Amino acid sequence: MKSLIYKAFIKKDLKTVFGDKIIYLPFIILPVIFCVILPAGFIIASNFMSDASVNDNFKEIPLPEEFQSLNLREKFLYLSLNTIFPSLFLLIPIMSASIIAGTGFVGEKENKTIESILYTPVSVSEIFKAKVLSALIPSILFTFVSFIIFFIILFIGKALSSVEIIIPVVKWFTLVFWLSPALALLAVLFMVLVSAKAKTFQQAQQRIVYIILPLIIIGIGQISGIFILNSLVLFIAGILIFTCNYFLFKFCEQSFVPEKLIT
Amino acid sequence: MELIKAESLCKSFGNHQVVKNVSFVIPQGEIFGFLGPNGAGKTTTLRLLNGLLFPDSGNIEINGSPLSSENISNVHKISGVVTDTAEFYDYLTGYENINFFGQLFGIDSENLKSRAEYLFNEFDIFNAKDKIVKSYSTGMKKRLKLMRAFLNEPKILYLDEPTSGLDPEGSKLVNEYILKQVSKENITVFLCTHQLKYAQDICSLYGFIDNGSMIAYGTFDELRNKVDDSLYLEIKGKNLDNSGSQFLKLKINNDNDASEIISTVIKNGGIIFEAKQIKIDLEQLYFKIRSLK
Ligand SMILES: Nc1ncnc2c1ncn2[C@@H]1O[C@H](COP(=O)(O)OP(=O)(O)OP(=O)(O)O)[C@@H](O)[C@H]1O
Ligand SMILES: [Mg+2]
Repeated sequence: MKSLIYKAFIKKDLKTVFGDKIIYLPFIILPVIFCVILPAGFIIASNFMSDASVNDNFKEIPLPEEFQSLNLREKFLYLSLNTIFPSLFLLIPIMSASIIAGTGFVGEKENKTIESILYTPVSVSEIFKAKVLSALIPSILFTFVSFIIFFIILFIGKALSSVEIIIPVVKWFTLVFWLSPALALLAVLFMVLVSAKAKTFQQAQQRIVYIILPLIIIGIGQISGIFILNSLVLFIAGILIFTCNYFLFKFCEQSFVPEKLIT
Repeated sequence: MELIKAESLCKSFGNHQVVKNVSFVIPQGEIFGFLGPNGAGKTTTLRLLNGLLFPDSGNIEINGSPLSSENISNVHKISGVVTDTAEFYDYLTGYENINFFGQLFGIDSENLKSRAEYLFNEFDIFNAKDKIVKSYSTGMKKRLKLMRAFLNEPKILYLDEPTSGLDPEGSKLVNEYILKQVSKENITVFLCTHQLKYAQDICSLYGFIDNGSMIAYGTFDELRNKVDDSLYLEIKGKNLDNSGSQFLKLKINNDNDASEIISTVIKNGGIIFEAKQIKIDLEQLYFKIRSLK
């Protein structure tokens, strides 16, 4: 019974969100840039560059012991693919979750469809859970698909490239299967929170910067070698975000009441 | 049996009191016309009855049990609602919308399919069922809303301006369908409107609300009895009285009065072309009652 309702919501929300053609754009552009063009670009560039052209800053970055033996081009490729890239990659779950949740939650209010749902026998807390799931599940699946595309590019690169490509599988898996879902949920709940105040989808969408900003800072931090994230750090970050999500979820669920939704 | 019972309902938004001490009872099978000007508190009352808003004070009983957060779901199962503030998904087709809401009502897929097809036909929008709702006209959306309200075979129907935006054929179709359901299934209707002519056509019980307060409540005849000059006999003809009048308008109480007057006029040599009883209509009644308050 419940799962049927969740399924109905997911199907309906996907149709509603993607019925608006403009929304397709980020869902095509994000994976194409982050999972195809950029990684392929780095791999190709590393094959055509000379050691001397590698930026001095790269040489300074402290790499784990086992990578000290890499030559500069390999180091360049390792750093770009596995330290700068992860923070870029995390934009995928965040952006997709916030777009779907934004259209889902603000859209229901903006288009006065929320009241229609409230007249059905489905309880308010079930509606809330269904809405969260219907934003979360597609964005996580989308992230996984993007990741598969990214890995295919990496493995093709590995086969063709003359520069050795090292792929830290554990780190990537932690990132994709643990940290990404955590961030996707955070983005969904964050959108629920701001959509309570925001009158339009655009307004709500702009606030997502608050989640993206820390990521960009971490990304820059990595490039300049201030800190390098390893699997353990990513895992702990995931735990922290999930804990934060738990409280945020409770808070949002409590403020998800008909009286506030229909006025 | 009393299907809807509202007792001393009060509701404020901030310090603006929108519903003030409103009470009424709607027995099963009645069509209750809840009439009042814009901003009177009709939609707010409808939302209170459906548990979307909680009253500040007062009690609501639906189908014999008090409305509480535990049984809202059961109340919704037997209710159908049409209001301008409950819309459809623009990018889903009419059928997909109906299918989605049907699923939320827990209707299994086979029943849902046949029920939807039947209703698409009844409301004469079968040809549009696979078009997205964004492409529907106002009237088509209204028909779709009415059909959604009937989807779960409700015992209680809440209609907020059900015929606004409909063409004459549409209004006729909707009224006939509502009346048919009332007589066939004995459903109970809570109807908000400010179209008084329309209300008079279909309602059996009335409540006048103004500025949040119920200023009158009862059947048409009960309300008419409150304003005394309410039934007349109008006669057109020649030599209707001693002074040879061609037109008479006399206050009467019932059919007997009317026939007595007519036979007296004829006995006295008057010639009658036309005689009719004029009841005060709902519109006059409404303004009269409002002016008394
Ligand atoms: N959520 C709300 N917050 C504040 N005020 C509200 C809210 N909902 C309704 N009101 C106010 O309550 C009053 C009654 O509104 P309501 O919608 O019940 O009127 P109505 O009788 O349905 O009017 P109409 O015929 O225009 O539909 C109005 O003055 C309106 O501004
Ligand atoms: Mg209204």
